[in-house]
Amino acid sequence: MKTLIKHKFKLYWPLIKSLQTALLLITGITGYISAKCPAKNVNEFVIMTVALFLTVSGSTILNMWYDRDIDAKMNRTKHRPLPSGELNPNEVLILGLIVSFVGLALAFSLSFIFGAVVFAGLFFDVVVYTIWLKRRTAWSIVWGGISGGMPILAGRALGLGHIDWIGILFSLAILLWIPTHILTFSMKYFEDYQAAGVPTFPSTYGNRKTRIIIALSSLGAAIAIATVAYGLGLSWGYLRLFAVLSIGILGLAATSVYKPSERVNFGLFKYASLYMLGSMIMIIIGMMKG
Amino acid sequence: MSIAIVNRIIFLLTGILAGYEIVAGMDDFSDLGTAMFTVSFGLLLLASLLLLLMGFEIMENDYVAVVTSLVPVSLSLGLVVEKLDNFHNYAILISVAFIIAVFLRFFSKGKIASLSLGVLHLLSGAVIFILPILLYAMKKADIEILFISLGGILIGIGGVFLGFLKIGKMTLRKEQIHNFFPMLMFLTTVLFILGLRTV
Repeated sequence: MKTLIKHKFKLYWPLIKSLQTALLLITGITGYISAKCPAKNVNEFVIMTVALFLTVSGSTILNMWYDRDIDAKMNRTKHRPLPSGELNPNEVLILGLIVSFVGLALAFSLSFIFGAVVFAGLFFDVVVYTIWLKRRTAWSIVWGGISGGMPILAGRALGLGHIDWIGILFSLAILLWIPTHILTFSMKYFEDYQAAGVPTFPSTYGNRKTRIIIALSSLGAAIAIATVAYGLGLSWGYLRLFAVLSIGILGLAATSVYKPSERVNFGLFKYASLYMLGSMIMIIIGMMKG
Repeated sequence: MSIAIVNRIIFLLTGILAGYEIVAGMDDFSDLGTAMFTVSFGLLLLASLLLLLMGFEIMENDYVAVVTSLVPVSLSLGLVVEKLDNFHNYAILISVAFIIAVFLRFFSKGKIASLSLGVLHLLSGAVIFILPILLYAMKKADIEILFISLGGILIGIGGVFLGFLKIGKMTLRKEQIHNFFPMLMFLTTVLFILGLRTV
């Protein structure tokens, strides 16, 4: 029995893309702490964290379920448990729906506005991005980005009780950061996306234009996150650190335009994740220190 | 060449320490001093993150070599700004030296190009090493300021190794240098942070 559970867990765990889910969860926690710091209501904080974890995981599972046919055509993803046939698709669909609904129920139990924003994130990710647009247009990533910006907006809305300009700017920062993350990835795995017939910016507009878009969106993300940090009243020390980290991402983005290489491209991809994680941790620490 | 896990951890710790110093370690400096120290610790932070993510090969890039030479330059400038009344002469000297070094690096060939930044390192390194000793000897600073001199020695050693590696005059293999470079960078950062507490 123990072995069976362990085996099942090993198969199901990759369905939630743990690193991506963790990063989105941290953005949600950051949004909450930015509004309500220190978090005095531990119950609310824990339920929010669980609700976000379940809805983000649920939407990722549903995304994996829907995309299993294209995943099977891509070298990078064909060994995942679903496309490789190790998991039953119906079982995965049911799991994705249950996890999503439980997450949404928890979210609405906390507050209507929190639930509504979390639902919007789930809807944009599963219905608009995955089912409707992903196989039709390269611009689908905009909706993926909007969806990715919902956890941080939800966390802040829960803390405040309403949506404010900082919450929207937080979402915008994530939306603008996502092209840096996704487009560098789609350049690295260009052949895979071609094989699966998924339109991407590199296949639609070419690598040079894609790199320019990455550089511009990195600049936009850096400006948005710096404005948020300033708006939250973080001390000059944190703002200086934001500036340093932003120079790093802008430098890499500019290098990828003027001196493109596989190393710089993937370096930018990895740095972008670290940049977002670092920014969120900085905001959390900065807010906690008052 | 892939980086060993322990070296990745050391790079990460170096980055965190440099980031901490930027956030919390510069409250008592003048605006100009803060700007200079932010540049040097910012570059230490970015260098450790980029080495962690992209590997040692980025050190062979000319632009990276030029930008990282700003670590000792800005640190020495920060020290001079904070501790000497007349910092303008040194600021002009080091700026001119930087411009010449960058020009030679990109527009000359052979050993001159490789060693151009070495002179810059030597000049700024001498200030980082000597100034704290003088300040301590004149009783204008506590003994802890000598940590900066120690850090200066370490960063100097690193610069010399990398410089000789570039021109091929090195008895140590590249891999051996790469093995101790992360610890050298970490200790340099720690020593600078400890020393700056008394500036």
